[in-house]
Amino acid sequence: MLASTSRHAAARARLADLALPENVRLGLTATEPVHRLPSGITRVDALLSGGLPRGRISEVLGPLTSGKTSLLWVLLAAATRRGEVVAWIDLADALHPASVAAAGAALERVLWVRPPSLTDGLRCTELLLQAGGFGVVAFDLGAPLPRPLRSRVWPRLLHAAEQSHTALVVLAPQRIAGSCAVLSLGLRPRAPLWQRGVWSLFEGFETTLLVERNKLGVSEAQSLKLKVKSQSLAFSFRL
Amino acid sequence: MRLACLFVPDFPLAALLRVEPELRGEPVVVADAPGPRARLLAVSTAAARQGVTTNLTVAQAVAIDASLVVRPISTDLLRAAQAALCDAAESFSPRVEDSGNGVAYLDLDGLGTLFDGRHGEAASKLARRQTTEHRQQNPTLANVEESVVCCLSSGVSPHWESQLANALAQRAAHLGLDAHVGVAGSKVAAALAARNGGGVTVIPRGEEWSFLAPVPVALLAPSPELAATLQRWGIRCIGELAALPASAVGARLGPEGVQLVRRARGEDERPLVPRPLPLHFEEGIDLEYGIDGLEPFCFVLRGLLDRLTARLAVRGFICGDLRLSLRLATRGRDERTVTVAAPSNDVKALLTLIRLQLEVHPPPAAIEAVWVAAVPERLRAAQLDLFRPNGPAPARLAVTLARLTAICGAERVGAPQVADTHRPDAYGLAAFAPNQQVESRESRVERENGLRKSASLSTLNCRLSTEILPLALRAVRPPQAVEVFCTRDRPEFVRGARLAGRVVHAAGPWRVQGEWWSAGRYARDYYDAQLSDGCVYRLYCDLTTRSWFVEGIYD
Repeated sequence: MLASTSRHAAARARLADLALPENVRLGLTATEPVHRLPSGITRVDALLSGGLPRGRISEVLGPLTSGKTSLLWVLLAAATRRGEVVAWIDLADALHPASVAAAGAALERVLWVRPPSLTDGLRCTELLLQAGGFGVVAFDLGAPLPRPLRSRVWPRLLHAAEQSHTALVVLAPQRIAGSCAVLSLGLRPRAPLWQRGVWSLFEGFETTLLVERNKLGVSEAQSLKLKVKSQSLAFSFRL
Repeated sequence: MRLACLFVPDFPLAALLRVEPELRGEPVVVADAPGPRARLLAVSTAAARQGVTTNLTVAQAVAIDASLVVRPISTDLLRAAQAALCDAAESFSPRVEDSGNGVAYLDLDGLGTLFDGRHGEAASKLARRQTTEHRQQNPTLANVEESVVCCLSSGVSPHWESQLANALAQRAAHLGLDAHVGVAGSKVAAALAARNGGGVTVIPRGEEWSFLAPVPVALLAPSPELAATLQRWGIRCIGELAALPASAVGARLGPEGVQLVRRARGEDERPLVPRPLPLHFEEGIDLEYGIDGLEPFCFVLRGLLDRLTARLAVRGFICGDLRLSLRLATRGRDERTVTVAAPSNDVKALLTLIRLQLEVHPPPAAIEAVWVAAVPERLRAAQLDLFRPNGPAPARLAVTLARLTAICGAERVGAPQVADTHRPDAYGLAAFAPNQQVESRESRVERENGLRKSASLSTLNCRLSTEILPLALRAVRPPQAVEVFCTRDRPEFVRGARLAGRVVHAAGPWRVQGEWWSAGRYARDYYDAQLSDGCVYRLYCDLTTRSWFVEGIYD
């Protein structure tokens, strides 16, 4: 406490030496409350302190068959059911409309954009954030990137997200947004679930949801076990 | 019956000044064709002050005043200006006759109720102020202006007629045309009032004769031979001509003479013929030289869109889809339609939409003339939901979608749809319009029933709790061809371009086949296979070619 007071006094004295301009104010700025987009799943919302933060960048990370796409579509479907408009920038061209419908999303409120390249994908993301009015903009990077992005990309997207009050969610195998992401959710695959019998069936898999990074507060739990399951056993009705 | 006539003097010049307002006050002439031998059709006041008249050629006029701005006449400009004049008239009454060449008539019957009370008082004050200003600027029209003021102050003419006539003149001025307005009981009398007067002239009911009597016969535009005959007879005014017996004039001058006498008496040759309401609003311009750059072309387009949206606005419309017609330097034409997802009169947004399309598909040659037509739409106020987020603003969303389409292509931007087919890899794409989705009662009931059925299925089969997420598939487009090594028809090893591994567990096959009646028939055996890399893939074996593909990955 004493150390901080002395630093504060030193800073004030230094600014006085530099002829303190009128627009310089010493002290902390008031932080605005962060609005959240709840997922509708109680335990997930508890883990995320209420849901995805608006006006921030979040990451959903994990390898294939870890449940990251399923989790993100549950979050987006909850948003569309509340009347939000969401965008899915599909760099991997991997969106499966039947899966989205099975997650309960209102498809007419989902904008599906398939950019031909990473650069175009980033341009599309920025355009959608600047347009405003979108609840969530999800950027599905698909495979790991061959080269790291330029350092100024994410601050620009973060600024656009803050201005439009839109939650930007990046779906990637590993962390990519660096310190610009306030929330990083990692999914660790566990065992696939097979129904044994005469006819073996793939039911789904178990996964663990980990909060790898959370700059907006610490929740009580840091991980959560989830099951990702097909909604129907018969193949013709699956998804 | 009461009629109003809108008359634009020096119409070719007015049409030009509407497009190039910066030329107002400059010495400008309009010629009937390009080149030095062309005849002048209209001369501005500044040019007339230098001695330039309409019976000169361009070369002669330029010899008089070297600083003269010469423009050839453009039929596109004239057509657009005439349409704008009719729009101004139709903003008051649907019964408008388009007489062409800067003249339009409208029926005033029944419009009296629109001009009374406070609006009428304000319009009257404005009309008086404009009349005074106009008289100061143009002293030659002072006597006519006085007659207007007399009409207004005497109270013989209904007060609303003068207010409406002033409002008409203002509306035309808003569209860039300085129109004279005449109000009378017949088309001829209204036209003469508009031509003879300046600004606004209202002839009270039943006083057409006294007003028209001193007007020169030349305003009836007789043929040169007839005008010479009347000159020899000593007939100078319309009153003198109207007093002649029609049968005697007919015996001497023929049918043309009879028609002239009838017009002098204020009798119309034919009644008002209202034009059908136009479905499209159009503006165009002939460029002096070919434009091959996007920036200068957008500068031209902005002016066109400004005028187009102004015309739409006075009629209470907003701009829907735009049709762009370009005449190219190669003598070809480039026709294209720009879809406006959110109808709007925002020129900036419309210009961006056109610009984006031109960026993606530029015209093959320089542009020599451009014509823009708009589909008029009615503005409908959106009913916002108190309990739902507003979503993107329609105009901004339309521009954003156009930009996304320009980047990705039209087939890669939209709302996903579940295709109405049993083919597993089929999908659909619809136009993205979240604000236009109005849920009908039937669809709401259907959706609720579907959700209930889905919820019951889920509860029954999978015992879905809040911790169980619906399984999602990541599609592989197009399906990736792989080699699959089988033992007793069971996949054992999978090898492809980006994956390889031993099959740890597999479920299947499920045979899916359909569309046998068409070329798109399919017959496949599907498997869910977990490979040694830990991922679970959806594989299928095409039964017609016996080749294997990866259709998706569960995630």
